Amino acid sequence: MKSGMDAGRSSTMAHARSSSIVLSARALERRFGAVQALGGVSVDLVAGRVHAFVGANGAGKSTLARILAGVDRPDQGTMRLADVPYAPLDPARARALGVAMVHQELSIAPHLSVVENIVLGDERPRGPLVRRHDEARRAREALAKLGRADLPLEKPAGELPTAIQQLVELARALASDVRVLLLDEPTSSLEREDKLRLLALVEHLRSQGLAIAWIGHHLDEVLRLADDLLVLRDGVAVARHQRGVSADELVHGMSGRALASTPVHARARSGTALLSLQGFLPRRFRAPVDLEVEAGEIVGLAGLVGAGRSRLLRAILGALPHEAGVSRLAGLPIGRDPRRSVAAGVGFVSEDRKRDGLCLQIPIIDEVTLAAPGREATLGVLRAARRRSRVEGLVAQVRAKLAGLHAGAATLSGGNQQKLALARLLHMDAKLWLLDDPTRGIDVAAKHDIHQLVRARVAEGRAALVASSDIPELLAWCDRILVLSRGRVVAVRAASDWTEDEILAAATSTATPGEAA
Amino acid sequence: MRRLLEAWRGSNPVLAPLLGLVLVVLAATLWGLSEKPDSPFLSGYRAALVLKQSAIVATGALGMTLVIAAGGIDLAIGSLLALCSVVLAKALHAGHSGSEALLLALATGVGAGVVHGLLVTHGRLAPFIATLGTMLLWRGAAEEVSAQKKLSSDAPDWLASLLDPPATDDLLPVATGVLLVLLAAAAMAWMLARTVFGRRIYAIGSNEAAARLCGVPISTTKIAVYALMGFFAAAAGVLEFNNLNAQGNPSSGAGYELDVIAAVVLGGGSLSGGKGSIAGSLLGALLMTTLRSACIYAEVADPLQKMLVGAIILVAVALDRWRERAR
Repeated sequence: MKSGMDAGRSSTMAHARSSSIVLSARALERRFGAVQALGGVSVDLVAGRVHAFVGANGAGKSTLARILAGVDRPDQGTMRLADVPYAPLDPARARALGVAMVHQELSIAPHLSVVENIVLGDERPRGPLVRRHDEARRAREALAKLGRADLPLEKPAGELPTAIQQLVELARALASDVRVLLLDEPTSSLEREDKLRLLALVEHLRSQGLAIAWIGHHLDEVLRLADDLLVLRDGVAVARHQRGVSADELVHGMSGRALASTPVHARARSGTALLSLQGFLPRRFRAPVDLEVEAGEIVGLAGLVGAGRSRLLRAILGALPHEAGVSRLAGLPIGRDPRRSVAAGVGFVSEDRKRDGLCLQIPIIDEVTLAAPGREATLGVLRAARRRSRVEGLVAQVRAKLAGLHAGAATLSGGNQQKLALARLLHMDAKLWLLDDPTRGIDVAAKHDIHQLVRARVAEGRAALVASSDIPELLAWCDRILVLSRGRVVAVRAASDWTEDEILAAATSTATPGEAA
Repeated sequence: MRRLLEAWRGSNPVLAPLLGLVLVVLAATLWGLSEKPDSPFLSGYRAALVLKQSAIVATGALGMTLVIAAGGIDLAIGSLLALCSVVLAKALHAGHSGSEALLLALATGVGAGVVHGLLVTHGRLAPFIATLGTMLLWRGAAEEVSAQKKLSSDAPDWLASLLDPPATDDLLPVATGVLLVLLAAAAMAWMLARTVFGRRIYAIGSNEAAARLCGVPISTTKIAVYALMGFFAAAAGVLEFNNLNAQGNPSSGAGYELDVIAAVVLGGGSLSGGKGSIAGSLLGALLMTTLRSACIYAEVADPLQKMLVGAIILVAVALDRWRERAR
């Protein structure tokens, strides 16, 4: 097949006239069971402008975007695309009309190659036949727009790191002729470098006349990008702003309460080592790790994607093997297998809620008690009433908003899901909390709640190891920060002795940015 | 040794059943050299026999490769094979022409496959459960149609000689049925690799939620996959009818679905979806038949033979999963 034979369809963006409304929605309503996710929201997406949807967990931002993209259908309300009635039955039809969405949770088919993922659902075959050269060309062009033309096109996407998978998803949206691009938390799994590139890219796409909706929790990103802002709370539009609004104003509208900007450092130094790693060498690490974490201490793990943050945490849990050294929790050896580590008091929160963080289908009450179901059992028989009151208490403590304890967690927002993961640690009474990017993709208010909660619990004699890509978060939250680069510890210092730039410099000191493990 | 293991980790999934096949043939040949020097294991006669016996399992494996790659399973194909073969025999018996009877049998298979697809998509049943139910349904139907008897029929020659050894002046030294299976295999391999339909099968098996968000027509694709499976089950029924000398037997094909699933899994298919290849499945089918043939040749007693086949399936699949995991 010749790649030159496809001139009929070009993948250039549609050039809409500036300041014209491309997609308009009126009084959209949507209900999920007992929850009114969206209660009559109207919005206009304009060519050449970025419209930010902001709001706390479950405010309805994602639901709004999903309706615009044809993933969900509204119960009430109407939409018009380029002044023609628009009611897409599914995402494929929305995409064919030029409305594409990048989802918050990764939607990659792991066995398919990068190219196949990028053109998935929009293959443009000749008859029934796929046109491989043409697909490869479209994929390369889309990746080139993202500045990542270097990605291996034929590799199964499942073998790539999460951040790269996210870029593949973005490329998927760009490989179609889009007029409207809906981005739900697109930076949540990206490193600083890729994040900045993405922001620049969105600005570039805007200048090409795309109408863009941006859903994000990072206010600095929102304030940089957004021309129009829609603030949602509990499914209702509570405020609309233009470029120039202040962060305080936005936060106030989102949460209805003011937030302390940084969590307090209130460490009670205990002097006793809770976790001790001696010559601990997780698989594929290049140098052993020696570390002592005291009760009452939060230690942050910083580093680029592939530096080994997750691998270190998982090796301490025992979910990944280590090749040398010992890890002890209060003197007891751990890290052989997760079951024994959990029994010894290690609690783990995964960076990937969908993959191995939560069992999204089981009732929330079972989810929270999953690690230590025996706590409310007599001779192995569960005590329903005790379990219920216990879990209700924990859910209130972590400030999770739920429809009920017997539903699954699948329909909850990311922030509420993450709070349930923490409730699980509380329920099993974990001494050592291993938190892998616990605030990824969740809103400021929930983030704040999680910071406070972890700080308070750690002060009671626990310890936490927290991996995060968000350096300001680590600086504000942790007592000490350990910087990893390509499978070795570069430096450990008190958080107050680091600056953001120094951490970045350390993280990139022996690594080439963007290189993946 | 270490280097060998590394090479194994990165190897093509088709290598495993191929290697197994070579090992079995080698072992049987060596055994024969010392124990049966006047009748070597490798012979034209035995090759023809193994191919003929493989054809029926391979036919089902073609459809099952698609089903498993799409993340599904079909337990009903053994019963469906029986139903289609008795439909064929009954239609011939009732005086229909060979081509009419053949079409009727194939249509029965496709219709049953569409039913499976509808149960799995619109009925929202797990494929395992849906086809567990229809497994009994089709078996009962086969017994009903045949009044629980073996049906003999006067089949036209072209329809009853599909698995007969080829005439000496034929161009290719294989039975027509074997040739047809190979042609169908080539078509399916091409379909999986080159068409949007094939791409969608893998996408659905790999991550159904993602495929849905990307606008892949999930229901249509699944129904088509199960319909194709039904077609191949019917085709296997036609071959079985040949195998039984133009008889339709309502109790044939018992356990057939498990042989077929084993062949697909030996060939690199994953029951969690997203993986599976036609070449691998064919080799898997061939491996199982060759193994049985070698056992008979080496006069291994039947109980031991069963255990051997079971153990080899387990070892082969474990090795393959280990290869995948280690990457």
